[in-house]
Amino acid sequence: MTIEGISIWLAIFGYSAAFIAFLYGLIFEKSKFNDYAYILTSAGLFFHTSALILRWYLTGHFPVMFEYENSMSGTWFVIFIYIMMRLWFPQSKPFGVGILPIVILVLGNSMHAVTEHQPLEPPFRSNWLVVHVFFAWFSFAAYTIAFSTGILYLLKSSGRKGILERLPGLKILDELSIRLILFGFFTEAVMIASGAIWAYGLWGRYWGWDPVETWSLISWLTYGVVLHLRITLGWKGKRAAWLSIISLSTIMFLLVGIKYLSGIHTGVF
Amino acid sequence: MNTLWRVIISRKLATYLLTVMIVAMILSTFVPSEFTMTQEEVFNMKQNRPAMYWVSENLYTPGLVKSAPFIILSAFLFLSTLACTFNRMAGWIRHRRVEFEKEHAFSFASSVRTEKSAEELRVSIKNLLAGERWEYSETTGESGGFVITAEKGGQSGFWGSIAFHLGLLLCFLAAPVTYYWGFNAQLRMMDGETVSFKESIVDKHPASLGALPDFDLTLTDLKGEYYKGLYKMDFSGRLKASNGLHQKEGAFSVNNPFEFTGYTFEMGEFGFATKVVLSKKGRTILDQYLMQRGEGSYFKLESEEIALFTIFFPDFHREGAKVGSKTREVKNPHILATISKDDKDIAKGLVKLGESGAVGDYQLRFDSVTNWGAFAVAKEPALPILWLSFCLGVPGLLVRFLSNQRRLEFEIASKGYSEIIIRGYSRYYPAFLEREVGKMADSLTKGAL
Repeated sequence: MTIEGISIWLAIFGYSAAFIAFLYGLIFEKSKFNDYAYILTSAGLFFHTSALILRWYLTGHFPVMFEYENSMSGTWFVIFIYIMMRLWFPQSKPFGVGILPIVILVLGNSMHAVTEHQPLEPPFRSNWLVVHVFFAWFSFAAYTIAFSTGILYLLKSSGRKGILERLPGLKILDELSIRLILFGFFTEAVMIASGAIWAYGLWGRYWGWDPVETWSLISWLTYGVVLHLRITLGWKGKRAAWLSIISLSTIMFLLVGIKYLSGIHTGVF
Repeated sequence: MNTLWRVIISRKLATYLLTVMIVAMILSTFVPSEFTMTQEEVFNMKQNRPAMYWVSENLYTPGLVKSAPFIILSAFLFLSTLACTFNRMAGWIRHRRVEFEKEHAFSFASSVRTEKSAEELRVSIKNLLAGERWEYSETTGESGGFVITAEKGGQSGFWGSIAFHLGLLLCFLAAPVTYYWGFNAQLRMMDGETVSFKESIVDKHPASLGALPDFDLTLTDLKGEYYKGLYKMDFSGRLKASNGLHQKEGAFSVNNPFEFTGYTFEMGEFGFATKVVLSKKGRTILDQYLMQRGEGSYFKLESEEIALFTIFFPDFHREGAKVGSKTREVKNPHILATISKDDKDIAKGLVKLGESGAVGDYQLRFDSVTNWGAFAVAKEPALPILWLSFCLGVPGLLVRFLSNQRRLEFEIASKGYSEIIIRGYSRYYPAFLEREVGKMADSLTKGAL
């Protein structure tokens, strides 16, 4: 196994151990495990960053090609934004309990698709790549953290103690969720718009209804419906929490399930 | 008429219909289609399972979005969005304020008692609001006291939302413009070849476009570059277009199309073209360039009632019984030819470049190899509409995201002491609202201003 391979597996191990620690703290109401879990997450991020930098150095480009690199970078973004959020908002530490399983699932799923180190293929040689991919990862991170706030909202409103006591109040969790979804909606709009412009220069058409494009639109419209239900029709509290949980499934299918539907996009995605 | 108008601008109905649209699209992606099946599987389905083929053609996503129910649903949502957007704009022009009471907004109230007189409080509140850039106005309260109403974030958030929805409407409009007036087709050319654009394009949509321009295209310097001979690095070349009046020559590559008289040529495929001569007992049956595809190319020869299947190996390599290509560069070119009759393979042969070899009763001569490229040809009149929609929609969404539309009402009554009731309304952020109202109340109690 290469150093990159060892690093990424150590990252997965770190995140898995962190998730177990969060769960233990939650179930047995041991708030100290909150801190252990955060340390393990940070350790996982260290190994994840090492793997990412190594891959970048060996391939000569930021890891963006195909399932393995995309998953590696996207999940890195999620954890990084979670760590940054925790610095700005310390009460968000327990959010890891919802974020980590998603990261482990996506990263673990991509391990079967590890590819050799190769240069950036011609379709990826575009300035629009940077805009499209970075905003995609921003939206993935925002939606994943919103998913986590939804889960924590439901757990906290059930009256459980332990690490949940350290969480911000329900109103703040609700507010965080909508802020994150709004941010994710905006960044996903930029992703779709830049993708359409890039597609025209690459394939001669800005929209072809291939499965990846269709599922991007499905996920964006789903979050659009969530925003309308919350803002226009006044859904809040537990209903809103369930919305932020269920709507992530569209993003997860886009990341993990789309390869079974093929298409011009999956040849490069 | 009123009922119809209420139905059209009903956001609840629009939300539910959008949900129906989403579910339909989700289901359509699981319908077996050209995206998920090989050409052979599609052909077999068409022959053996016509009902399933009908489902595949009409209910997979590109088919679904052209179906009458989907178009009707889209048209209604377009109308609903349009009506709602203009209704909101008309409301804003009339009232110049957000009707929080009618909207679903978060609200929070707090009351404060102070020794200060009503007049002192009035000045304090106005100073506080002016300092934090609130827009405020004053009216008389029901109990004779006064009410100061302040708003913030309303204008930017409102107009951000309007801009976003207008951008969305333009996107809706771009679709039929593309469908009815857009053009796309495929063009395959070999390196060094000159073709007539009008006569060489295939897979035209729309098929009945009317008069196509007639100009000649010449392809030169077509090449593929590989890293370590295996990994795709770049595909590029030069195109020269001429219609007698205008002439243009330029380089192209993947992501860098060539453009002439509004038509763009995007490089989509690259391959090798092999010049072969197939003969039998001295009689030439086939003498042409064959455009090879990686997995093999199939050519039907009707005159002989046979089919010729060829695989081109640019860098032929044999390991025991296995054959293949070590790299993608033309270093040791060979063709593996298989002749079949009535779906049965009858002969096979391997021929090196510049040589001749037997393939059963046939003789195959492999003369030369060059490159071919396939271009996606497009003319897209909806592009300016799309650009406008993105320029409106994306910044609109950003402004909406950054705004925090809210209102505060200060109702002051004198009862020997002064009592202020502060009511806050916020569209999105309940916790923020509570903190803001609390901060206002603290400032007034402490006499901060």
